[in-house]
Amino acid sequence: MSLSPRPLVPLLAAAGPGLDLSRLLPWTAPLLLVLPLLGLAVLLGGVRRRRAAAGLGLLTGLLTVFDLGLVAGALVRSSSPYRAAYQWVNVPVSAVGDQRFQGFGVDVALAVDHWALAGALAVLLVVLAGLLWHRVAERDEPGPARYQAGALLLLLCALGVVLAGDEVERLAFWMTAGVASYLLLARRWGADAPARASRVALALPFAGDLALLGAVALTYSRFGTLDLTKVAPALHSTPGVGLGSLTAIAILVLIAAAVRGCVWPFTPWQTGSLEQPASSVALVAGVWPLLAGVLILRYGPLWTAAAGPAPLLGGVGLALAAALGPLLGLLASDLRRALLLGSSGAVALGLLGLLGAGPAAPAAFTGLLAVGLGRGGALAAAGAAAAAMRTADLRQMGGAWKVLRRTALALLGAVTAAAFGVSAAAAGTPRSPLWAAFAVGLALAALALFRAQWAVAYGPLRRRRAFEPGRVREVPLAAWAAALPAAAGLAGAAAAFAGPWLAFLRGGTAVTGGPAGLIWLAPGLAGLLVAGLAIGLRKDALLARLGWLDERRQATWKVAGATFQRRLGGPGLESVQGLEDAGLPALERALEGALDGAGSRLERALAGLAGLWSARRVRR
Amino acid sequence: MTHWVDLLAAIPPPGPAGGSVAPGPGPGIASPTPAPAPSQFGAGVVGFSFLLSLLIWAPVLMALVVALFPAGRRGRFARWPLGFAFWTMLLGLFLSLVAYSQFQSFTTGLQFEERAGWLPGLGISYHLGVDGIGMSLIVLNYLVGVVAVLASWEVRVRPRQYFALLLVTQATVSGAAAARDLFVLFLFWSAAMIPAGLLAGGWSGRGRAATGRLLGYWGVGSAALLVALLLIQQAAGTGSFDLEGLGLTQPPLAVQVVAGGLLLVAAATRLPLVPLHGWAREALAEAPAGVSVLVAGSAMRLGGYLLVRLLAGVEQGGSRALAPWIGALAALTVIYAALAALRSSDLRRLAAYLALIPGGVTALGLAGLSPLSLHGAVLSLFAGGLAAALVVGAGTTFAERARARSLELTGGLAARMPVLSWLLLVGALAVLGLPFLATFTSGVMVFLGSLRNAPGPALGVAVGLLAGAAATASLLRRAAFGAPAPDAPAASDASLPERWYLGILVGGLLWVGLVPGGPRLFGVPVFDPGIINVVNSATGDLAAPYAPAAPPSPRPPPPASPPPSGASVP
Repeated sequence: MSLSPRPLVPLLAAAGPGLDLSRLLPWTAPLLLVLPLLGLAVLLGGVRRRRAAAGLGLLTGLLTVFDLGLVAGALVRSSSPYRAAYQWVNVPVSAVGDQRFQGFGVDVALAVDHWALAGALAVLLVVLAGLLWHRVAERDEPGPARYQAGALLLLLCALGVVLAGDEVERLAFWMTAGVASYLLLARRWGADAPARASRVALALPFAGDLALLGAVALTYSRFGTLDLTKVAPALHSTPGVGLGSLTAIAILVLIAAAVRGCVWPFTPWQTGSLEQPASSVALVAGVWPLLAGVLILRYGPLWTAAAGPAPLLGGVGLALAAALGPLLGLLASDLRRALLLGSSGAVALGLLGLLGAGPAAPAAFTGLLAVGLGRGGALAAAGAAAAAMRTADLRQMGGAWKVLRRTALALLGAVTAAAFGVSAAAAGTPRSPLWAAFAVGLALAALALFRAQWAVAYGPLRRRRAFEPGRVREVPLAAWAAALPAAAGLAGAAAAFAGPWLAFLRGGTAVTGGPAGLIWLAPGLAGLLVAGLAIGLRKDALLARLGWLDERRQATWKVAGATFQRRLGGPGLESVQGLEDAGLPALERALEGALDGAGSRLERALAGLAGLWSARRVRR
Repeated sequence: MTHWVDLLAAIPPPGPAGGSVAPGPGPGIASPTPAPAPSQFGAGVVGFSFLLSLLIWAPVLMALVVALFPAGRRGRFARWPLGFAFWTMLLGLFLSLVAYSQFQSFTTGLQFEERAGWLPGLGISYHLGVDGIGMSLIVLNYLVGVVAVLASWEVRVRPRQYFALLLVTQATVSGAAAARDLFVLFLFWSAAMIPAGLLAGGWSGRGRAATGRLLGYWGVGSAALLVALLLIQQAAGTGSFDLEGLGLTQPPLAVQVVAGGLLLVAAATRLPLVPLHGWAREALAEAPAGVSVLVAGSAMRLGGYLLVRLLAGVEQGGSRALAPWIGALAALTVIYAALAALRSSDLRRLAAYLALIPGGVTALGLAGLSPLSLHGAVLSLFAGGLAAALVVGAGTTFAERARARSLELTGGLAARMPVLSWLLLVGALAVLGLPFLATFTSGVMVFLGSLRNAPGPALGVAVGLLAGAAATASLLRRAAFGAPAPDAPAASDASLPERWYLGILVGGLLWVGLVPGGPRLFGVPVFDPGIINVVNSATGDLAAPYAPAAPPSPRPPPPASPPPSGASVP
């Protein structure tokens, strides 16, 4: 990798009274990645104490926010993105043949536009909230430096995904962010159940990562480039690129985004890891929807070009996910599971709005940022409530408005951001079948999310036996840490209706949207009202009935899983093991016997020949 | 009585009448770029012409010294063989790094070339030389050699024999990588069998099985290689085993396919590819850490090297015909190894299965048959060697330190063995192609290059990698994370030599992953020309015949019809 920045002295000289931030961009833009990397290096270099590690993590996050401010100051009035590239791999692989495939290069490229600025800010807010929450509310958690290292690695890689200008670079950051997520979700090593669940957190999302690898490989094999800005103009003029290729790329990208964004049915890698520290769960759950949105956004031109089956398949799949995820969330008795599944519907709707980079894209992207922030804040607040009430079971929780007012407020804000974040995206969606999907999805997501919120905030606190209800106290700073992304999410949800913001995202181009889309708040409001009425009128009975249904669902899944294991998984692995332990040795023995027999026969034949020869000599 | 050598030498090369010799590249096959005059002495400072011989024979010489060294009273000199082996490897690594740093990566052709007549009647000569592929393998071999000696720090049983055999094994790999005469290559290839077999079985509990399997499989591979070489040489009709001459001929397709099939069998026994992998699980799972690391890190890579050098480099028609089979074997290997790892409850065996995965990725690159996939395959020899050595070494050391290799007895050891747990994690993820490690770079090149020509095998390998991720997660849960096993014996973390040897492997993977093109300061290369550039100097010519054809240029508009001349043409 070669670094050849401009000399620093003239730049510093420029930082006088009339500071021109755009001249600092060659330094400030790379710093967005360098600062987390430095923080991580210092942390791994020897910081072990809890306070020092937490301080270093927060300092790194704050410095990166400051740096992002400088970059934003330089780019806010510019409609063209800032681009810089540092060579990573550059080899001429062939001197003959198709020119597009004669060289192979991968750059560490930065592409900072308004979308990236918004995405990076959201990522930073989620990570800062997680770090702060961990500092104030998880003091007894072992391995604080390990947590900070995982969080900083996730921050670095998430920013890398947002800012990447090269698809292999994006893939590398994406996969490393996945490893960081696994490390965050596999923190409680000593207990068996979380460790067992963390297996899924590594293996299932890896399927999505491989799907992204397939999409990148397919893009390269068809277009001969890894820069999507060069792919877009060549979409219809490249020989050999048909609708099938484009459809395959689009679907693979969607699978990658849906798996990592924790959209149903790819939710188990997060819902199975809920026993991990709340800050880890909130961090991972909050960051990935943002990254999934960035991925779909960057591949938008390919979605547009793959008109036909890809949008249809993607649309139907996401619409189903938007309905079924919240429905399962409605059944969940665990607060965190209910929030994750409920918000998964909103994430699916956000991705649906982003498909094709159509007129709804700015609102959908903003909404997705709001959902990500809200999801992170909601899970942090849920962690605080669960810690204070000593349970995460909705049937036993309640009364948070009385005893955990700040936490309940943060949870309300976060849930509101997640439920209403993508409402504005529906307004810009042109097709009527999608409107139906949005209406149903928004209503169900709001119903699932607000059911959990009302159940925690209102009604009696049933869990009384293990401790005195009077001792249910909140950690104020933890509540504020949860409130930070929640407030940002609310701002994002509001901004999704604001024309100037949407125009800013598109680099100044006027876009559809604005206050007329406020009508799309109605499905969410309906869900909110239904949830409020149901909880207000018959909280205990409703939650008990839903809990019973959830237990039936769990039992069914257990039976299905056991059947699969008995009929397919187990025998498959057994056959491999049998082949390895018995089949191959038997084959080896058979070969050995055959060779031995052949050797013996050859030996006898040679001996016979020698006998004949000697007999002939004797006769002569 | 006529000597058999004379008989063999008297066999006339098949002439044009036999229809088996094509004097030049066949139709439609791009000829390799004419090699420039070989830069015999590398780039500069090390100017002697026997560098490769030194790198090959010095370990052999030192092995003799070690073997004959007196043990001393009461084992007074018991640790000296270790010292001899360590300093030999370290010096060799230094010399190979100097040669690597001086390697002229901007030119094609052989460097550090040596040639001496040996058996002229048979067309055999002592011809050594390295291009980018050979150079990278020699550096890998010495790096892994140093690591193997460090991993053998605790070997105190028959140390003289152990380190002598280790040195000889290492030397044979260097010899095979540097040989430019096919018969010399065959000799080095086959010579590795004996010391590796003795090492695999002589210092472990189930020694006889490991030795028998290794000798059996590698013996079959050697026999297949010998037949293939004789076939190639006879079909080429050059009367020589020299690779330079053989590379310019294209025998008939049938001969190429048969010879290629035999080469594939030979390579599959060494790389290894399923179903010819039976020796690997025994040897890698039973041998001492140093032997496992050496075999997984460098000896196994020779299988891929053989396919790259002889199949893709010489038998282009054969490699095209066999590409689907290689792809199928690649997918089968990765899927099978991952599933077997998922099922295994033996920590060392599980690591051994994971170590088979890089070989499958290399084979996928060869099945892709595009310039990029071949580049990736060659790079994966280096990267996969480091990753396989790391996962096998970490697994072995982990099992030794945990005093248990059954996953039923381990568990929750991360708290007591944090360093080894992290190294095991990195090793397993490196096998899967963790970004910013060397295996990611090579894996991406292989996948991006092979998707067009071999989509099915690429999908199969991807599925196998997914199962590998599940196996990795299972391994980590059962060995490092999770609740501590109540019956677990007392465990201790890695010792200093163990940290060093595993750390060197991680460092190598990171270095190549972060700066595959070599570090540059203000655009100027600094001390490392970059493994990818060194490899590229050789693979450019090798991959040229497989370059995708240029798309048809837009048809020019038809010329305007000539104006009527007025005069009618009868």
